[in-house]
Amino acid sequence: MSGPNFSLAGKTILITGAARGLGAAMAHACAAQGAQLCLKDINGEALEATADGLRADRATVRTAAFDLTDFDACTDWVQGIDPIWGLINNAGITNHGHVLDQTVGDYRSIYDLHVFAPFVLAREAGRVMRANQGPQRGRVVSISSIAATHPRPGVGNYASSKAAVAGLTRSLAADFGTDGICANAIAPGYVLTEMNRKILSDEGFVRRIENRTPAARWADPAEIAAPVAFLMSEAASYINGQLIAVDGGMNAFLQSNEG
Amino acid sequence: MKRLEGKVALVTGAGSMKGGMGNGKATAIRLAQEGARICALDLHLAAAEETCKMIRAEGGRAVALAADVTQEDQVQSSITQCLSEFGQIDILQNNVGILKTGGAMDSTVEDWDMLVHVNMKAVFLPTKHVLPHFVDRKGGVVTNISSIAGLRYLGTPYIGYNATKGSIISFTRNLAAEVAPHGIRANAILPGFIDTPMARDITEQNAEDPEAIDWDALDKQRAARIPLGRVGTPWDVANAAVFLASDDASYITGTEITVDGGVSCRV
Repeated sequence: MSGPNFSLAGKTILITGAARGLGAAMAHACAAQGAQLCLKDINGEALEATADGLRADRATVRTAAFDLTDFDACTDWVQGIDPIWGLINNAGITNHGHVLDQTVGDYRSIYDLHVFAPFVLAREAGRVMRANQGPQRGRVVSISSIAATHPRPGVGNYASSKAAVAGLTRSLAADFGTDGICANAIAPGYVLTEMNRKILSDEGFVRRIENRTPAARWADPAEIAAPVAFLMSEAASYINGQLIAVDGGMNAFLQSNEG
Repeated sequence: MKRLEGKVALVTGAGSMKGGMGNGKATAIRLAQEGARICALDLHLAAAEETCKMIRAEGGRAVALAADVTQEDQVQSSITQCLSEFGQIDILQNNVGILKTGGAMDSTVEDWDMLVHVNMKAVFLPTKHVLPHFVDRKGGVVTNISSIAGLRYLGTPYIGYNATKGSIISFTRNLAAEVAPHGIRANAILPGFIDTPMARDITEQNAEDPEAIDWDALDKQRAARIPLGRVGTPWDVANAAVFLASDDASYITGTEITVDGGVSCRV
């Protein structure tokens, strides 16, 4: 009887937004389990620095720098990689604003990156994964957000796009399931990342989030990356179509006062 | 590298009916494979012993305990025994549950009371009595077995079972908020259609002629509804339990992990 297989040895995993923050943490978590990485970011210079750090730890890393909202470039990137075991849709941006101040363009640019690019990448990666041998053929993990179900004010384009990520995930699971490909999404709570630099500089906001999180702290990026690596592994072979909260209990908790 | 080296897990319902492989038994074995020492608790000592024998055969450490987890004194003495054996508890895996058929109109009060009594006390009592120890240690993990039946009707009238499994989700969320300040995590696993002795037993009970059940045909019928195209195994549930018990899940609390091959995400 072999134990649970958390290993990613020999498995090729694609990660978007891999230069910094969550994506870089995911690259490290997957590399620690033996994965070969294809990393993508719009910022080529920062991506190379992250890749060099991984290579210093003896990881096999390929890099690509392009804009994910160029869907032809997405297709070209994936079609140049074979075999593929996993795809991690992580790249994200924010462009917050009250609903009264937002334009269709503000929504569209967020949806291009958070919804349409993951759709194109999953479609192309799924084609390649289906050719893998054996009952288990691949994994897609997409990064949603606690905002998908519990938005704070002024983040409508971000929150609704992250809800779409959860919806896309369920459809990928329904469509790809019989091919042995599992699709899941992670809903992180508040994480200490570069993307959150602006809100992290507001001490009152930082405290407010702590008070509303049962764990009473923000997440370290590694704490989001480890569950992603788990979902990539064969140990997670029957988890499919799920939105999994990694939020220190925030979704289970509604503080009745400002705290 | 083993993920649970140095940890001790108390697994309730760790034996299996009829010597087969159930969720609790598989979870005890997987936790042990990741380095945890195991207190395998079951209503039937022989069933718990069988699980321990399998763990020891692989070089793991395990002790068998017989207890009814709906009886407070038996729960307390089990925890005391576990502590005297291993000196600590890090993981509480609440797996005990029973299943009875019936809708609102045809369930008896006796069956309803029995479902509420067993399925709710089985999460409440071990949790209540392990928490003082977890608080002292400033950490610990509680994982409760709920079910996708706790979310919706699955085609067979199990109203009492489904209601209790739904309330385990609520119990777990409230528990997580209560104990998080002590560094304790609590989550629920929602298995889908898993091939276990308990699942087979209820199918037999509901059949006019249990001998005539075509298990392969039934599996195929169920699998056709499941995106991954197969019924789950207890190992699928056990792997999720190992993950939740590990430090890889250090920011996961108050939530549910569904292990159902995607069946609950589609119509």
